[in-house]
Amino acid sequence: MADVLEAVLENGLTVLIRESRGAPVASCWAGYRVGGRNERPGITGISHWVEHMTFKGSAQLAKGDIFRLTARHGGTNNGFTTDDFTIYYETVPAAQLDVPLLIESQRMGAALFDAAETESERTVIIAEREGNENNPHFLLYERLAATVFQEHPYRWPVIGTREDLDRITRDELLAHYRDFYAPNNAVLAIAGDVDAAATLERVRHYFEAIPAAKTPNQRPSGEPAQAGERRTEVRHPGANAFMQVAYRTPEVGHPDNYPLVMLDAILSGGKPVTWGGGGYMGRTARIYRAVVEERLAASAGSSYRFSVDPHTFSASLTMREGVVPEQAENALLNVIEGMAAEPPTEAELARTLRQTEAQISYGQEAVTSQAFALVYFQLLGHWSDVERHIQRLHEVTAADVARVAATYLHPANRTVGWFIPS
Amino acid sequence: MSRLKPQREVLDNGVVLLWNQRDDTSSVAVRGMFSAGAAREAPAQAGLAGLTARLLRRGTEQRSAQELSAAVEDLGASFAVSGSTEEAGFSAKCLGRDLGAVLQVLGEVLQYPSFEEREIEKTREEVFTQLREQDDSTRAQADLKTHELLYPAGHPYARAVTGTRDTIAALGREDLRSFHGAYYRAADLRISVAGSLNPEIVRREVGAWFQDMSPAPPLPALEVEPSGKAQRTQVPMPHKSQVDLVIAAPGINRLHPDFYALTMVNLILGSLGLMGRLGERVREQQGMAYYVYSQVAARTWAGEWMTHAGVAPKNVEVAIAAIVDEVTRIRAEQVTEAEFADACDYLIGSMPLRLETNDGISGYLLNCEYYNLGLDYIDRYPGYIRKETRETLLEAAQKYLDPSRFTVVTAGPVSPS
Repeated sequence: MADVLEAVLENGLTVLIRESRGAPVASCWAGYRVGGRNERPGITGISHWVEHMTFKGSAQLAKGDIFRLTARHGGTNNGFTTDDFTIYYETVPAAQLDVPLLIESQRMGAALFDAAETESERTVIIAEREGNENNPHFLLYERLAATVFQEHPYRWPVIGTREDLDRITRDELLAHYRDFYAPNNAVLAIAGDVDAAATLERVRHYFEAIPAAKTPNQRPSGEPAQAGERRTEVRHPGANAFMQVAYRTPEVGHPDNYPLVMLDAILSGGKPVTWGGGGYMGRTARIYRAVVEERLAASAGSSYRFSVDPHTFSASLTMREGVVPEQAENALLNVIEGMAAEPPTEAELARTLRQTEAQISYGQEAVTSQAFALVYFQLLGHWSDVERHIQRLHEVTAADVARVAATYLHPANRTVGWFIPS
Repeated sequence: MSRLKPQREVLDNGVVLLWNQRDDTSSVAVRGMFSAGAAREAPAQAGLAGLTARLLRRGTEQRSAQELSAAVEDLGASFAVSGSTEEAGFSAKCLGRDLGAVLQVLGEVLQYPSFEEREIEKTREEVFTQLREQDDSTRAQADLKTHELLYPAGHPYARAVTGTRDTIAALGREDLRSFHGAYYRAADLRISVAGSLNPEIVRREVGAWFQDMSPAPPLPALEVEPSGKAQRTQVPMPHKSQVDLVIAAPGINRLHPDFYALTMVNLILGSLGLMGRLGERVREQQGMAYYVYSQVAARTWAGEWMTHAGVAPKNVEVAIAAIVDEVTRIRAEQVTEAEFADACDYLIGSMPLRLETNDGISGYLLNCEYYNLGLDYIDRYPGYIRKETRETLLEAAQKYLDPSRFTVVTAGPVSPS
């Protein structure tokens, strides 16, 4: 990803602009370092709720204007909250870039938090949570996270507990917003059919006057060491039994990050690095061959993503009829934990590199995914890490993969969760 | 307005090839379809088209499933084949330099599947798992029941592509072989390739597919009028937290002259911005749903208009009343000038976004071919939108969005009476 204009405004806002002339389109992303990790019992779900409130009116934009203005120009927009970050975007015809700049500057400095709107959004979010509860995978993951993490806020669901959604107040939402929605806690990234220097001037026009704030230097409590396997299960009416397993792994920036990315791809195929990419490439990878081809499960896979604080490498499977759950579980755990004794072959390493290279190439097709990559990697560390992603994977050896497997993928470090239809 | 340079040609073997070459990308997307969807199967063999399509990648006369996957995944490419109601479709994505190799695998998979018993059993079990998930999904249950009520029994629009446990259990190797032999035909194949490509390589590879050029038997007449009866039913799923609500009405087919007017009035009612007027009323004012939106499904033989909402059991009746009230309002008076302008601008303005990626372009070209819209459709499209007026939108609302003809389905916890 060549030619990124990088600037830091006086108020601390990091601005990244990439000229990309493939289509007459531009995408604008704003990311904030706030998410589930900045919450505690009593206010779980507050970051996600703040995200909703930033669509409900600001000094210059009425409720609904963000969607209306974007749609009027044929654009798309959305926002989402994760354990670590809250991120928004608009993709519009390139000539209309001022629309997202106005929207994001208003969101950063001038959201209203109207009291009546806060109450009406409470029930919307409860409805969103109830929709999630209809999905058995949500039910098990909520339980699994609360078992993996005993102290760290990653144990709470990003959407919040029902109890907290019933009690969070408008003042708490506003305080959370003021704490974290500041230019010095944000990244603004633009990619598209634009002139970088001229775009930076537009960014200054909209954002320069927003004052910096002293954001809480909040470091969530560390998670005590895990001393042995943990297990949990959810018994609930449902369709198929399925299992999730999580192994605790270190935070972003740790030297083991890239060996873990490689390990995940060896187990279940090369994944997109940014927003969107190619299809599933895991049928020749170890988990699919050992578990699905061998007819022990209907589907199975693994996942590893960078996180601000230590999180997990995870895997899952969905049962097929006529198989004993223990048998499927053992097959999945054996292939994962067997990596330490059976490091990847040269052919596996080469295939994974080709797959990841191709995924990165697919992610370059759309300015939406290009701008996402800039904002996301900048929030995690530095945007240029996405450029170096492949290089870092090239540097990973089979011995590195075996070493991280031995370090993290062992019984005493794992938490196993089962959903059992009742 | 468009930077596209789409090309169309009919190859010697009868395949319709569409392509759009771009130099600013290193990847390429492929999509194609045969007239081999569930519309071809007898109701007693529901799921045959889908199972056949799934099995294509599970081994050929030359290579095992693992070898086929390796040939593609080793290149960082991917491919998929699936059955839908009207068609059997396939797609692939790869780097431009690997297009020839990926087309070779696709050609082998589409022409020479082996349908081995072991693979049939494995795939059948996967379908059973999917069927159980479908049985447990409020959304899938509400949709299935709605289509059962709207369309006559036996029509492909009335049933799920996945089939049922009984029909899937009864399908055997010969069923799959003969379905494939009858309906996977060069004369019926449309393929679209977009991105970094050499048209010579595509012509050479695809032009060599299918030596037998005889066409598939014609489809039976499937034009159908969806039910306009006022009806309501519920699918009780007491273990769920939320109700999936569907309100549906008979719509139109894709080539119907009212297509653009109905699309636009629906956009204003339940889609534009944060789910249109329905979103404003049910989500923003009432705070009763995270999602409530409406859509026009305009297909080859018929179509329907549908609203979806996820609501708490206690709010079902209020939500239905609010939706019906908004429908009544949009058929009583013209939409505002501002709403009309926003809908026009959205439909015309969003075209470049939809055509940004190779996937988007290949899908667009195939859609143009499927519905006979012409490859210059993108240039004519703004004219179709601008021809509509607030009056034509009102007429479309009055004609199609009639609460006395609504089918209402709820799936989830039973509402307290």
